[in-house]
Amino acid sequence: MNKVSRPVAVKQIVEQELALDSYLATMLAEIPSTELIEEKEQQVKKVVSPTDKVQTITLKKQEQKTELVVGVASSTAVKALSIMPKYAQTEFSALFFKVGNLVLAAPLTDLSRAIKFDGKVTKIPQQPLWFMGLKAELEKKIGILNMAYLIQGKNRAGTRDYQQQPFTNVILTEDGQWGLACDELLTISKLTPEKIRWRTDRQSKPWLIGTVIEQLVVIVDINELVPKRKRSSST
Amino acid sequence: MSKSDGKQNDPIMQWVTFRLGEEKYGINVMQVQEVLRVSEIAPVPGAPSYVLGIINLRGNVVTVIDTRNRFGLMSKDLDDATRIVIIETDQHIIGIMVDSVAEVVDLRASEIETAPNVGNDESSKYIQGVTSRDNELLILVDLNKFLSDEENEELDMF
Repeated sequence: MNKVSRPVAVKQIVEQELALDSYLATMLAEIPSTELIEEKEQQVKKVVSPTDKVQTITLKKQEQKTELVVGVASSTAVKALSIMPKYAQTEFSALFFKVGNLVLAAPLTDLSRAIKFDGKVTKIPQQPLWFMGLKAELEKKIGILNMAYLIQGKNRAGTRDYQQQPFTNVILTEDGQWGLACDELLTISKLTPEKIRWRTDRQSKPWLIGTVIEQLVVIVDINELVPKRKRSSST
Repeated sequence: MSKSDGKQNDPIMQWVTFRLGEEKYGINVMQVQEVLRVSEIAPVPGAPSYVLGIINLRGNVVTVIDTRNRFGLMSKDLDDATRIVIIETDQHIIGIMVDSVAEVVDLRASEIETAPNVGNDESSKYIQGVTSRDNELLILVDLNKFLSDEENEELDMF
């Protein structure tokens, strides 16, 4: 294999990256907790007005843009860009929705569509509380997950009476195998990477990918939230 | 591919369906010996919670399993529809109490899908798969895995 000579500029870039690493490590050390987000929900409400609400929708994936966000404005995002998913390196669309009082956002690239939910599922015995059961939908058996349990944990999600206050919507993963039960679907907004505080360390709560700075809304990595499921096969 | 080849690759199996709560379950008809109305069940002191007791089936002692308990469901009062399904597993002949027995259905192997198991391996290893039937999902139970090895050993005591 031919050796490729490295330009001198590479060394400078590496040093810059090290400096940014140090800076971002300090800046991003504090991970926004869901509790914090919940407390700030009032601020979010102002941003996401009720008139933005959407009905059951088919989520259309945004077209991939080739232009990368570069330049001085995005310099602080260099480190984050390296751990961000591909879709997040350009402008991307996200669905804003509610789980209880919590407002969350999920990139549309991770979703296929949203359906109304009547709460009826086929319960599989002895499964965790966050697995609500199976729902037959368009020839598929969708595993319906209780998003409150997944996001907030048993202590907080367990206080809700799901008979009295059932979830009303389900957002489906891209492969359509999982459905995440939630409450209101709010709006679809375009987000740019520099408006998001990306997490650089996702060892705990790997599904929490970042926070929309202006709205203080957590962005959920749906693929990290759903369990791995074997492909359906005949037995 | 000929029709007979297709049938060999996609065999039809018959399943006895029963209800427990809101859900409908299916078990392999070849493992079902008979279906009984509920008669007197003699409790067994010291038996695990999933054992309702024993019955005398033509001179044979058969342990009756509380299927609701086994599946983690709330208990329910017995009624006219309650049945004990006598089944033959690899280890034992046991009775499983169910809310009602529905019908026998034919299912092609290709119609059966693996059910997602998101808990630990032990939690629902007896769920063989799921299939759509009459606008609802039918949960297919592998009776040979219905009880764990330890539970089967416990049943040997009765």
